[in-house]
Amino acid sequence: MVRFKNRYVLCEVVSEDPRCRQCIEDRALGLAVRDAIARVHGDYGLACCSISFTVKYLNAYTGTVLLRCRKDSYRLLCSALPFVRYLESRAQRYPCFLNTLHVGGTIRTCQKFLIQYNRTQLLRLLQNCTNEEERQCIQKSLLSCSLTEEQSQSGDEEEDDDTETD
Amino acid sequence: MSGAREKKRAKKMRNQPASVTLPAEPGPFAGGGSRACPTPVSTFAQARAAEISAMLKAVSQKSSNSLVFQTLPRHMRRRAMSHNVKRLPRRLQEMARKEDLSYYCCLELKGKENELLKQLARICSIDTEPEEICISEPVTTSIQEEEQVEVMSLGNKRKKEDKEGEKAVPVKKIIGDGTRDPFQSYSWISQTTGITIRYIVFQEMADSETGLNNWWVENCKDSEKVSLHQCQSAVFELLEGLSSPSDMPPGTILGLTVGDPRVNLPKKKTKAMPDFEKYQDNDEVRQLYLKGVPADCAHSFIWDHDICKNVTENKISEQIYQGVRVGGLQEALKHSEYQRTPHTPNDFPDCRAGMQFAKELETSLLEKFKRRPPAKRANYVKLGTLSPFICPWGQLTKNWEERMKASGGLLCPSSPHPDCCTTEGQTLCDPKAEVVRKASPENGEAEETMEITSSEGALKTEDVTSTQDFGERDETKTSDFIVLRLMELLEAHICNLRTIAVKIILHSLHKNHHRSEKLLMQLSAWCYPTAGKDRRIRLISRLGQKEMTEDVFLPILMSYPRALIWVNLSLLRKGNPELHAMICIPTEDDLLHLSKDKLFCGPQEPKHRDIFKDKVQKQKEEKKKKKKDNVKSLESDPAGIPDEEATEDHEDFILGLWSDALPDVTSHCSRTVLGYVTRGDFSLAVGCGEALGFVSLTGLIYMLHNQPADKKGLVLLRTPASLQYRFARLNIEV
Repeated sequence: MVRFKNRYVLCEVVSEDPRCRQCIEDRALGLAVRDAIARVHGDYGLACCSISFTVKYLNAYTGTVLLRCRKDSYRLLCSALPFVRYLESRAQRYPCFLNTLHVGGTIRTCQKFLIQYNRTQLLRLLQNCTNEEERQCIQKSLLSCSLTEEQSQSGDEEEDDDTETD
Repeated sequence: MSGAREKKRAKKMRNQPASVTLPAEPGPFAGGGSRACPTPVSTFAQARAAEISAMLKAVSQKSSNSLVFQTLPRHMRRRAMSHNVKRLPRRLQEMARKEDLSYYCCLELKGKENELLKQLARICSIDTEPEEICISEPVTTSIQEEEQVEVMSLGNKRKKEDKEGEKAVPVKKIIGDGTRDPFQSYSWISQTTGITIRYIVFQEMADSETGLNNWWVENCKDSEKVSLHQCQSAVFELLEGLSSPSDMPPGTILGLTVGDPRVNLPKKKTKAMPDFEKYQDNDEVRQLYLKGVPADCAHSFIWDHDICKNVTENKISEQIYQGVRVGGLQEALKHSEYQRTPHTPNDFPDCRAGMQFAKELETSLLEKFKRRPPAKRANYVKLGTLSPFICPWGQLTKNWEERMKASGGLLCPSSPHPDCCTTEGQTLCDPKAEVVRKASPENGEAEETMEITSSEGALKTEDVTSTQDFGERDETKTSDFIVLRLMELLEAHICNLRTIAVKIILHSLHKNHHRSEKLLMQLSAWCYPTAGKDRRIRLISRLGQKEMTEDVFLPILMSYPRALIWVNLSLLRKGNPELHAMICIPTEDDLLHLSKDKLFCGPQEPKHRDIFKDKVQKQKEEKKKKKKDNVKSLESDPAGIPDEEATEDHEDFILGLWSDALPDVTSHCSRTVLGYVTRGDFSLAVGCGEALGFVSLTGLIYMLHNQPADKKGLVLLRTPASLQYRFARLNIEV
């Protein structure tokens, strides 16, 4: 049986303009990426990459974006990502760039990576923070996000049958 | 459907995070101060934290199926791990045990059905068939937890005995570990609901023999029967001393009662070897093959007491009910067809067996015919076939005789020659019958009715006793025609009879052998065309046969006014002859046409008018009327109905068949009928159709006399269901 294998590309939207966060939407981002592929790889490249192309998840506050494409054409996609220079939405255009963090075969691996990455980010923030207020803020957030025992147990008990990852 | 699927998907995806976007802010507003936008660090931190938690939640969700056996990698799975839990790694064994119990036990639930279903509704859906309900072990325990009443006093008492004196508290008890000892039966009876749960014991049912073997038990009570049985077994032992089965006289029956070998199968297989030395010069063995088995030993306790009689008399139909199977009938038929010899009992219309056979055949063909819908049946009246299901030999010979009388001015034979008539052409007779016949000419009887013995064909072995009551068996089934046959043919058919009576007949028949042979040879020679092919003329002259002149054949006709001859036909070109096909005389025009055009198939019979159509319709209407009347009269006078029904059957017309008595068979169709085919088929040996049948002697001579020399022996053949005549060459086997 032939399996359709996908690749999930985890990226981060980095921008100097804080208003760019407004543009982080799946439609805007998808258009921008496709546009970049078209410019770089032409119609053929666009067609190849567009087969199973979709924005699976994004977080405007953190700038995290999860893209999906076919395994055969993920390299085309990854090579075109640096060419995304702005995001456009509601007739607003803001410059930005995409930082590729991780490429994984399943959503779950990307999620796992993201946990790790965010943790490290927080820790770095903690180390580099300047004032006490910030420090406390960071500590609080660190505490809030770590998984407690109850949480994990409740997660276990609610066993689902068959979660299929794309 | 999609709703359920979506629900399932939603359940699966509930832990997956959704995309987070910034809320749409109305208009540009200068991000004034920390009031609207808090410090980037805190937002960043919070955002990160939120994301982490969301991700963690998603990741911690257990993925894929939780089937025990699939968590194991494929190379570690074992075939027998489903019923042998120890083949699984320990961590999975617990889980595996809980999974499937259907191997281990069946529960039999006894009690009122609705009660049962009510209780079972907790575990499974009621909609399934009761037989398919499958309850797994842990569930039963849960029931026990909830309703302690269901757990049983009886079962617990047994447990009590095992665990000495321990109080059987019916709380949360796991009864068994999933496997139950198959030889111990447990049963649970609920006190309130009256449901009994009992384990089915998979054991041999020891009391299955009651009722079946009673007859043997009864037998053993009777000392006579016991001694008979011992005698039979003694004879059986003696059989060991015979060196070959042919030592025993044929037709010996020994009745034995044996135990079912399936039940008494020995543990070890041994070979049965005869021990010759043991019985070498044993007197008893010698007695056995000289005299056979003593008569009373042929008795069997289970079977019909007349098994002896059945076997010796070869009553095959009865034997079939007792397990005998007859084979090779079709093959034998085909064999005799290719050999062109008459096959018993089909081709012996003059003997009683043949007539009976023909009658049975007629009824079966008629049934088949009636079963078909009226529109799909062949209308034999229109086709001009008077009797599609039976060959009316008597009618045929009578008609020909009348013809001869009417035409040639022949004197009707006053004094028959009984010797040659009677002794020839008889298949079987017994000495007593012969005596009777010889007496009849002395009485000066002018009729030629032959009394025919009973015969079931060549299969029956007539006991000498049966011939004696021949006189009483005197029949209505006398044939008023004879069939000329050769002795050799006769002998071939009765060679396997062994009774003395038949041997006497053969002797007497031999005396008159020459006469019939000569006659048949003469006829056979006449059938060949005398012109056109020199070979034939030479053949005839070589045989020294006389020309066919009136003074030659008239005496023949006189001596055998109603005779049939066995002939075989082969079609010239196309055509596949069938049973009951008509053999007809071609007219001069037909022969002329044939000589002009070699590809001429044959004439066509013009369609006849269906004179019975109106009668059939009338009858239908009458029936309908009567039915209505019957319904009315049922209420009034039920006794009057059977009479009406009886009269109805009497006048039953079948559309397509000739309903009245048959008219002149020979002249009904456009071509004069000579005879009928008794067997016909495409012959693979010759490559054309071949038929075997009988023709009237009178008719044959008439035909041969009137045919041109080069076309002698040509006849027309027409199957009952067609209008087309086909040319065929007639030949008499000598």
